[in-house]
Amino acid sequence: MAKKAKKASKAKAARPRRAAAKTAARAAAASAATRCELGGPEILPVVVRVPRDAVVDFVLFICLAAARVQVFLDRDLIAEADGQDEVPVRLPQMTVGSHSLMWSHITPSAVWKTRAELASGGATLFRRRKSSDGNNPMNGGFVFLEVQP
Amino acid sequence: VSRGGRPAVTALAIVLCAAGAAAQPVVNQADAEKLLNEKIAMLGKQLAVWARECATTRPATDIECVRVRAVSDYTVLSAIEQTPLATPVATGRFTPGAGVGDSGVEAVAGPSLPKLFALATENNVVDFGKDKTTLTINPFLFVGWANPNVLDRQSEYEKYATLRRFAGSVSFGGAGERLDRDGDGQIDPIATVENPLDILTWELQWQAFGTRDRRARENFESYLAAVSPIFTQHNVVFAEVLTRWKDDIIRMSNAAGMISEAEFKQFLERDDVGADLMRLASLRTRLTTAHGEQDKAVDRSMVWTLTFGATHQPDEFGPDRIRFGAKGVWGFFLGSTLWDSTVSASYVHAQEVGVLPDADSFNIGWKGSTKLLKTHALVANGIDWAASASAEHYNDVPGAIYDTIVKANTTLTLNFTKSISVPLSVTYANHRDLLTKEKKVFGHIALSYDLPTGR
Repeated sequence: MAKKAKKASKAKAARPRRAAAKTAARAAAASAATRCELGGPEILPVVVRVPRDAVVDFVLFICLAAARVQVFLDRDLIAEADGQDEVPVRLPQMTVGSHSLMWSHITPSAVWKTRAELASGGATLFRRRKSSDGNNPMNGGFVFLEVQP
Repeated sequence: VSRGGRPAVTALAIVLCAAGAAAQPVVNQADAEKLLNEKIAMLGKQLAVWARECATTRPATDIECVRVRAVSDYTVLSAIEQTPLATPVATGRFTPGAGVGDSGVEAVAGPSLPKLFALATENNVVDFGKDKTTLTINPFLFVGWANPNVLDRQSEYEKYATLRRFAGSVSFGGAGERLDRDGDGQIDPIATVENPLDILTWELQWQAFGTRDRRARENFESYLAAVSPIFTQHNVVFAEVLTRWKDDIIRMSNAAGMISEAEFKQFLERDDVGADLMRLASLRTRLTTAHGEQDKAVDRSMVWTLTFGATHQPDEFGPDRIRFGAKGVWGFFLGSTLWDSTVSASYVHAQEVGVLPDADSFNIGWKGSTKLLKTHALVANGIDWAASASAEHYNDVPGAIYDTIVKANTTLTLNFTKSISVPLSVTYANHRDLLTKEKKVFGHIALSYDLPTGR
């Protein structure tokens, strides 16, 4: 009887320890950030204005997945990549006026994360993160560019 | 009021207008994309309803049926979708400027030792049983914990494709076996294990053929072969649509690059924009379908795993054993029905102990299952069909009643609700007493009711 009680109290004491270990594991997993979580807060203008002659760089980071990526400037496919960790693209010289930039990816992976960034002259003009956990069904994004004279 | 009334009213009106303009809600890129996607999703559902009705009740000349055909039929899609893509003008790498491409920085530092232990507990890598400790060995899991970059980056992940095919386990301790070691016809008392290291059991697993890992190169390539055409088609149309919209969108933006929510919502209601969205909705439905089908194909692909293991223990606990095994899983179509099936085979050799001679046992088995009917007025949760067959052969194995045992079973389960189901089964065995004491073929009808949930 006493043995049983001792066993029960041992099991009772082990429970919080196991729970603590599980909590620690979850915290560890949550803190295991990918490159897609890095870079700072999101910057989300619909329209990005850049001066003529500006050098504009776009990059799409793909985390936790193998993906095919396509990037379009207006109607033109300007980059396509398979299974890369990130797809960096220097945008071609743009005429003064309006332009659209669209990127998209497909992946068989059930879990994925992305970070899209647009930068010019050392400043990040746009930053957007997405993941398979999100409720946005579009695996990609778009932004409009206005090249000013 | 009489003299300065008009200018005062005008000024007030200007202030109110300005206040109104300032208070006008704007949306950022994420919100705009959400509004757009909601509209596309709604149109996708509408298209599905129309398509169903057009196939059954509506006349082909109905305007909505014409729309369905216009967006769904490859031959009717605009020439833009058929236009071959230009070669990308920039696919190479570049030296990123500040703010972009900070990939030189390692994603995360490796977890600390306490975190590793916590992860091991969480993932059941170490299992402390009553008198047995089992350590599951998954080399890639450890690599992933030590360096999360191998999970984050596909380029790193692919380097460990071979390592991911190996796994294993080691157990220490356990209980002695019930055996008649001295041949007196009586089962000897079970010997107590004092030292956990007395009984050691280990197993090595090698995934010799195939993989269901969606990130694996071979699965990624077969996925791309099937899904890429519709993906590209969708993107070409989307890029074309955005190019047509760009002037209107930029016109509704403020200095910060945000756009008026009201104007954008009005824009999405325009007829020409609606036609664009409907084409996108149709393409997204096809893209989603292609994606789902290809994922299912990966999930039912063939995988073979070979295992090799052994148990080492002093004679008083039982004989030393070695084991070989093979297991194959795959999905296949029988007619139009998809079967999930598993084949397994194993061989165990036990070394002589006491008066017991060397013993061997062989086992081969197959089991399969399928959903014959997903739902029906009578059986809301459908009908499942399962079948299995196995053959076992024993040489000098203590406790084995027969040298050879063959069994087969097939079960049809009628799932009337989630908790009420009626299994109808037929079982065959080559020895009567393995079924009941009656015949070699035994029929069985049962009603099962989920008591714990009270449903």
